[in-house]
Amino acid sequence: MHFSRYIVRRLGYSIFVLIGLSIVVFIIARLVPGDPARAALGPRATQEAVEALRAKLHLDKPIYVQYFFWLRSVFQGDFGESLYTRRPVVEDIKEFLPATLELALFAGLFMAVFGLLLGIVSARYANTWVDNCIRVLAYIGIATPAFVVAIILILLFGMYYEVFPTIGRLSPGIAAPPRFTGLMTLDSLLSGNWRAFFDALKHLFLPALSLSLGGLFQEARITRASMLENAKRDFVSAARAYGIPERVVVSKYLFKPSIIPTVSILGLDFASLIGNAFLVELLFNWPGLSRYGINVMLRKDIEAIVAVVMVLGVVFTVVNILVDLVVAYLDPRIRLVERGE
Amino acid sequence: MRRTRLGRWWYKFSRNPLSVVGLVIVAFIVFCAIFAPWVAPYPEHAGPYVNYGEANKPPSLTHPFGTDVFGRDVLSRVFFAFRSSLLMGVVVLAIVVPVGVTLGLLAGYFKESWIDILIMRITDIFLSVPPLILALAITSVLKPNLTNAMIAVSVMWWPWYTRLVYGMATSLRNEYFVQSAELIGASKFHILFREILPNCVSTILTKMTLDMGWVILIGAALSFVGLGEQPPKPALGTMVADGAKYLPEYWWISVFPGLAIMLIVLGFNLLGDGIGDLFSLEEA
Repeated sequence: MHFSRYIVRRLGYSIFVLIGLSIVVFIIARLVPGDPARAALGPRATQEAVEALRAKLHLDKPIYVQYFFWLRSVFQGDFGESLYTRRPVVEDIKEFLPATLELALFAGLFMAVFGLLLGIVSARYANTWVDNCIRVLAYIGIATPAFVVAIILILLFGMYYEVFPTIGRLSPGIAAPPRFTGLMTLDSLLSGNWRAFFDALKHLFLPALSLSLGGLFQEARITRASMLENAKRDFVSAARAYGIPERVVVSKYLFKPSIIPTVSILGLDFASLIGNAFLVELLFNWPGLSRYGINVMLRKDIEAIVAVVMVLGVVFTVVNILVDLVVAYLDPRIRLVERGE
Repeated sequence: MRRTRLGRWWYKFSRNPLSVVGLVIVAFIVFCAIFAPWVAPYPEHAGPYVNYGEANKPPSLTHPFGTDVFGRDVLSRVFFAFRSSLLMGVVVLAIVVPVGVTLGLLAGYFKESWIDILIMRITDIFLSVPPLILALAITSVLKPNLTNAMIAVSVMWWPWYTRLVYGMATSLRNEYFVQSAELIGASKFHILFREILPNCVSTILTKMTLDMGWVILIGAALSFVGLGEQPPKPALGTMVADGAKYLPEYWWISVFPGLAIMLIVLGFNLLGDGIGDLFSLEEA
């Protein structure tokens, strides 16, 4: 099974890239003008105290030595302390990351499911009014930034017709389920709390929709194009010529190769999704890592900024590995080329 | 009738009405940005102007987009905000394209040498994190202003061009015209910039047009969180964020600037698609 070798190589390269990213982020963090030790202790601290802290934080050593000290503590699970929350950064990440993951998961789900659906409908009714409507909507949807979509959704649904809540993860009257995973929907399911589950779903709807809209239409466009292109291919004509029912031709022969470009672009769309989460979480007052990220960035809380960027880099890398694996599963050429080596 | 080259281009370009719509939108925005002091109904509202008597007025004939909390005309501020948005797009692309393209040419032409490995590994590192996040991080450690926002976005944007050109250069280097140039002893500079580059120009130009929209969007996102152009200078993202505090009563303060961002991105997207189609028709 050489497919496993493909996976191992893919993982190895990702680790290399993440270490590279950590170097870049570390250098950026040291660009900050001023002395972090002085900033942490305040203007009234004595020079000796500042020097002592500098030595403790290894700030008196060259930057590459500092980097290795930092890397070592990261591997020990220590990202330093946040100046904003006055807690270890790791604690903050544990608290805020699940909310962002849950949001990204639902937005990604919307993107994949509705994007594919719209694309298939668009291709099935190509060049009819249905298709034209979807394509015009797609142009507008792709061009509208997530935070503008969020504002319009808050305005329409949240405030004029109060169907969906626009603040936080749960309504004030509902007790939060005990925390197992930090994903509100999963936790409430695990504890059998259906009321909290549906309430959490309602809270997820608008932010997830605003995050997914751009990517959703991107997926729809790509699915449409690749469905139409593959429909002209010989293998589809051959399947039809054998007398295979049209339903099977579409679902088995046409669908599978056509969604490969859709899946591979999902990784890229996920990037803009995580980026946009920074603004959307702010608007929906979503207690996630991105909102935390903005707060620490506005306060120049260096250790926390570095940690947030690294954690999101890891999330993004993992998603891209998963996307690659799904693509390799769908596209035998990738698996077989690797095997032939 | 003899068609000029320009006429032929226009004929092909205008066959898709959407491309023409894109061109009109972009021309309109550029026009409004350049002539903002004359087009805007209240040019003085672009600065630190305050008139609480006129604050939070809904859209009307005198103020088509309404007024903000300081009584400033939102339409005038949108026109002036086009300036910083377009400036951001132009400056970022002016930095990013030469750097990214040169690196891509080098890595692609010297494929599998240490130059390729070094450049492409660094490119991958920069692509390993969503661009907005690192751009936010960079601007936040620097002083928040338009210049630093441009620097931050530029740092994140060049890898896309490197990767794009790399792909093209690796296949072009095996073409006969490149090998002939090598045989007659042409310099590396000549091969990279006079043989390979001209064959990449159409793709690069198409991507640049599309990217104008995306760079402006990311700039708006930076100013949305307060890390771009600083008040009282108008920026689309800042206006959206400021208005968001007064939803739903004074919805016009943020909705119109938001739609303006959408219009910019839409315009450049349609235009970029049109230019892409034009080049592919030209080559066909």
